[in-house]
Amino acid sequence: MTNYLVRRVLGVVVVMFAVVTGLFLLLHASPVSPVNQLAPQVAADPVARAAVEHRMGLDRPLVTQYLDYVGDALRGDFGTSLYDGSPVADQIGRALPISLELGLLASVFAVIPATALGAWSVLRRGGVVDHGTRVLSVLAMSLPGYWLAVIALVVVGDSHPDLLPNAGGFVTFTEDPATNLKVLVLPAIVLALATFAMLTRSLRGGLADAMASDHVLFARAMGGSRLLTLRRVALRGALVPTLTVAGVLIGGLLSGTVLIENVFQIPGIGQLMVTAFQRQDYPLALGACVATSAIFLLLNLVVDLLYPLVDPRTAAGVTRDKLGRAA
Amino acid sequence: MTNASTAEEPLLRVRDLDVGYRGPFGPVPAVRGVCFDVAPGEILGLVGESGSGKSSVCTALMGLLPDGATRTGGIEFQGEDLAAMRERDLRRVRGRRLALVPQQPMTSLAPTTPVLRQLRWYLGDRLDDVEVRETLIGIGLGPVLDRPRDLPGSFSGGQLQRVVIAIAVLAHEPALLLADEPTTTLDATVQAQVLRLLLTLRDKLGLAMVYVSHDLAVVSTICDRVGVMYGGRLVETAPVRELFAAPRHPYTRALIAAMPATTPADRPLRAVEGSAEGANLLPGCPFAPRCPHVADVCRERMPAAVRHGAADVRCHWVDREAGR
Repeated sequence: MTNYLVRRVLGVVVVMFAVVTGLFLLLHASPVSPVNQLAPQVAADPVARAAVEHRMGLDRPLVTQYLDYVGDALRGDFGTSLYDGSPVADQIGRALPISLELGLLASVFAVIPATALGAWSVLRRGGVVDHGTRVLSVLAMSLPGYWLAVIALVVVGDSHPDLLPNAGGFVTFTEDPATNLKVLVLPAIVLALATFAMLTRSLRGGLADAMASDHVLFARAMGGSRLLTLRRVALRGALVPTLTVAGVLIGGLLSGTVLIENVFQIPGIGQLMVTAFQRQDYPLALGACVATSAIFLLLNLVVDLLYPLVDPRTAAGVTRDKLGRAA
Repeated sequence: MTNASTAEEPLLRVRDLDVGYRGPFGPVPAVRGVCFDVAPGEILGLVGESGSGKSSVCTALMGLLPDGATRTGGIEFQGEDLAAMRERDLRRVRGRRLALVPQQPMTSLAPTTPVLRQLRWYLGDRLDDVEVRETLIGIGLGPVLDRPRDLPGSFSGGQLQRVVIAIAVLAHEPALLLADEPTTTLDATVQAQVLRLLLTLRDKLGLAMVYVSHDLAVVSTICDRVGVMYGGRLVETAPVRELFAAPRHPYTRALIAAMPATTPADRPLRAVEGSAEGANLLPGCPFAPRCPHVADVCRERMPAAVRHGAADVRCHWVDREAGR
């Protein structure tokens, strides 16, 4: 089990390193340069340009820049924004909690109904709930989020304007929890829909297979009700594939969503990233990308660590795998 | 045992049981017009090739057919009609008075929960009872008690099948056990152990059994009476001695003639000519296409069961021969 943990964590570190390197090189390979953002008269003067590039350290060899960046990043310093000179880490520190909160709320709105409807539709297979769930999940999956966001904005914003983040600025949780949650509910629901749909279908599929298995037949032949059998016998095995899907989807929810944050004017990491790219502010863009990947990878690590708890066979499989490799 | 109990009210009385599954081109019949009785304490064998409907009879009796399957007919068990019972009341019969031992021991227990915890689900605190523990150790389940954290995957098929039988029989001591090929997937030695266990439990607790198998040798050793199924129909039911000494239905005859034990060592084994494919769809006798005594009437109509000696046989030819 400890080996499993160590291997997973090492995997995350390696991938994270690759992500930083890849993003760094990509941004430097692109024609994007902060120099382009300078006033035209400065940009047109080669001497002034060179001076700016020198001040930013852009004239140094790429390897030096890269090592510098990685070294600083390891100490938590992601450089300063080229746009306003504020530290990138501070900006991310402000935007990330908002995205995390929105994503967490959306995950709750996705996971709880998905679990309930997925299980309920298997218990009443072929019934009204089952068919209703199927229609609902297909609808939720096929409606584009940005379209739904705009519709929600127009329809709900008309009747309940207090449910929307007002133009004056976004209220954070620490400032006013009630207002903060109130304005996040609508975006979270819109954000959650597609995830809810996919989780429902995955769980329903897994549970339906499990309910047709021999061990469920035996449990029911021993007098177990469908509900008890589902909970006690079928659920664990059926949960594993859904857990994988959930890890990826919730990772997507938590690591900021550009479209929803944009439509609802939520100053999260997605919004921050888009602004950074628009301003060619690449220390900030890079920092935001790294933060997003880190959240995503951490969540997958959590999922990996959950597998053995849900299905003890995973842990057994890992040890056997280890033994096999040692031999 | 059989003779003593035939006078009593049967424990289980199955009448005109039909089971159909949903197929791509409409319903597919799996069991057709099956009637049989089981007396208290009796072991009734159900034999036939795979696809003859034996297992479907078991799941139909439990009321646990898969979604989309249909069932008609009467299932009277201890004076109650299970076929008309609501799911909630059926749950009180399942496992308590009527238990099932499924075919696949390796997959019959939840794969993600330790075996001992599953035993505790069903046996509850009785698992701490000295007498129950001794019984479990007596049937070779000591390792399960000693390895409380081990999942089903780390036990052998024979051990798991004994666990399943122990759960089915010891949890509530049912009056009737449906054993659906409980030894088919086990090797010969383990098979003998499991059979001995079933017989011991029968003698100790007086439970009746429906023993489904395609293995005539096993059936001949443990059953009191045997029903032979073909193409979803029960073609002959007879006391075990009578069935083997004087098989009547042409299919029973062919089956017994094909047994390795009845074939002299120097002669090659005889297989029954033809195949059972599609027999469950025929309007008349399902065995007609392979039967050496087939007449036109056999292809059109399934005969009713007629008593010949101690056997109930559904065959036009047997009826004709007897009438002569």
